[in-house]
Amino acid sequence: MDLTKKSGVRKAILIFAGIALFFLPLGIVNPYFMYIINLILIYALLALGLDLIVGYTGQVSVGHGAFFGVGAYVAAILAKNFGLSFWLTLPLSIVVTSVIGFMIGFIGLKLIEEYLVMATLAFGTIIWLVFLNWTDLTGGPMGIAGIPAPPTVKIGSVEFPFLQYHDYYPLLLIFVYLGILITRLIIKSGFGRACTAIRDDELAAQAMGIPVFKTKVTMFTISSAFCGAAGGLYAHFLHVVSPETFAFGMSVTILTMVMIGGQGSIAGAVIGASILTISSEALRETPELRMLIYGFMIVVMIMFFPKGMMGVFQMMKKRFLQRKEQLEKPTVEKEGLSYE
Amino acid sequence: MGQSVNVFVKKTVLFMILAVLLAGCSATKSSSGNGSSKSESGDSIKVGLQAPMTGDNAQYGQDMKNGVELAFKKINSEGGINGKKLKLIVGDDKATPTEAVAVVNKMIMNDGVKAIIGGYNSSPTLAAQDVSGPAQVLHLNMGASPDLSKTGNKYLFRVILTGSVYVPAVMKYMSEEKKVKKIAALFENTDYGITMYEAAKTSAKDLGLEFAATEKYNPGDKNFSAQLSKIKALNPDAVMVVGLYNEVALIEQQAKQAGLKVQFFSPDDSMYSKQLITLGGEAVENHIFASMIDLNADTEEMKEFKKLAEENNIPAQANSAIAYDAAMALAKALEEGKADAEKSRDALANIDYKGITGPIRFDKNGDRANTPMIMQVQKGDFVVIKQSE
Repeated sequence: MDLTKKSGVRKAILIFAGIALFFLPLGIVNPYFMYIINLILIYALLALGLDLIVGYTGQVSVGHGAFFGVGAYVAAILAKNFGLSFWLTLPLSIVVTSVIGFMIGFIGLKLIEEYLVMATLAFGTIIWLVFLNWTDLTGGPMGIAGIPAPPTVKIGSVEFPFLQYHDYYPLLLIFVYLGILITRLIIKSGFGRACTAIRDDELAAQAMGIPVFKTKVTMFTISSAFCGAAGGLYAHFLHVVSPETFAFGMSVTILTMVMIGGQGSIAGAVIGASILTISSEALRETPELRMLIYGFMIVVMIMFFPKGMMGVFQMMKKRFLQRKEQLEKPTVEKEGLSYE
Repeated sequence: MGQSVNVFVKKTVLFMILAVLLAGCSATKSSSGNGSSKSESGDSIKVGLQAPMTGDNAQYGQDMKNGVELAFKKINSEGGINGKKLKLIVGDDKATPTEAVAVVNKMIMNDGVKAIIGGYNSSPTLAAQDVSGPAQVLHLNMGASPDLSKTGNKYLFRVILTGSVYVPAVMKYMSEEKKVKKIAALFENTDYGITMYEAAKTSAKDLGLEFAATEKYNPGDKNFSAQLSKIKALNPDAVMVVGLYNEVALIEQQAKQAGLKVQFFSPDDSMYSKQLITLGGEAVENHIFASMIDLNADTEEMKEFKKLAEENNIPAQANSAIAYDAAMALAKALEEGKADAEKSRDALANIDYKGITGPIRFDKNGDRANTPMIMQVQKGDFVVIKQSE
């Protein structure tokens, strides 16, 4: 009884905080901060997507940067060459990325553990090389610039044009909420539980009658769809895409976000995206040392907090509860004594 | 139990240190954020440098930074601009469009720069001017692409001569002086490489020259044997290489090893750096190219620049000299326009300043207009073989 009440209160707080987040731009004057927050939202979507396959299904992929790129390039090419609006390019980039994700998953997921890592690495590199060398379509190393902003949204007589970074924030936030919602729905479903079963013990899961390969491929496809959405948003938000963004480094960055935040956790994905984006931007002050410090930080995080920030929080929570128990125990006894 | 507590404490302490580190980073950022409003009323004017500070093109970025720093040092020691000191904010664009957008965003919105010097490469500059234009920030770039003349961004100026001037000059020289008829082209597969090649093809047609081969490579490539063996089979009179010094040096070394002994030339001065000779050695001897600047020139401006460079222990590179000129012209415009965006722009558009690289004037597209000189690598040094007209 008490528990349900508690979780109800928690839910109410979460919903309230979620709505409150929409008003964040009112408190931020510096458009550069808004730009960083928007980037965090895009990376959060990517981390959520990768976490589905890494955190919940236990299959490591280092090719998701390429899916991100496919989404971005599909949106960029459709918008620039065919003049399609954002509301068409985004679904199309999700569809195309899912199809490519499905194909790669179908081939790659027949492999296990380190072989899967190698396979996704290879696929990611191949896709990146296509971006780099298919000059007629992708613009080669110079990429595609001048991608138009999403068209003005009209709700009744109120117009929401996309001119400043502030204007993109609600759109991106909605997509992150959608991502969180879909993730929650998936992991609470039977399908999601099948995925965690595969993560924990693939053989046992198979023995229980879970179609392991089918489940993995489905999850991989959903995961790549997340990256496709993030890519489409990224292209229309930054107005420029170029191949080096989606090289191997991006795949590693997304994976690091998931690791630092904590695998198999929605909040972890968001926290990981925030930490890495903020530190990478903050270190712009020292361009020569930037990658060095950044790399060192990641090494320290992975070495000392292998379970990520969420692991740290859980550990703290556990200690807090234990301490509380220890403190409460004697008082209960005392109370008992006084009653006697 | 006791041990696990110990480990926990250790981890917590480490985490705290990291958190402090992170907080420190964001603190410095927010303080400079407040600085953006300060810079307008305070005693300094901030100018950004958007250039490749890391990666394959880091040398160019470093040269540009050196040049701008020299100019700022000189201006600040002479009292600054209307009493305000110039302050340089360096941003690494990694020679890529997305990083350029990110770093220009940061410099304009967070640091509140009044002007940006840079973009060494064309593609990052094209992407970045989409941000700086609407923000009314002066952008003095060093990109070579003709697209930079067609942006319609009236805050965008180009401080270097472009391919449209360089290419015909070099092609004419090769045709008239070197009696070249059949040329093989090897160029980097970028905006810059492709447009330079297209321009060369047009001017070759006018001069009655023939392009026998068109080979491409990607920036950062290390092995060119496939392209070079194809070129060798066609037996051209000369090879035109469009690229930056690291690739040009490698190409000519590998050409020598492959037994390809013809005249190499480049349509512009993108490889005009001591690094070319350091990396290429003997192999780059006799390389011909067009340049807007001669570092051995006997002019007052050049002497002053060299003196300053020597005092500050900075190598007197071509790119440093061009960046120095850009910074001096910008300072003059900011002084006349009293650092007001609109007025400074007009001042820069109508500027007539005698720099190291000749008279600095801009046409209505924001491009420089004076003819280049033809230069050659001779005995490990750069020598003018034809003066500018």
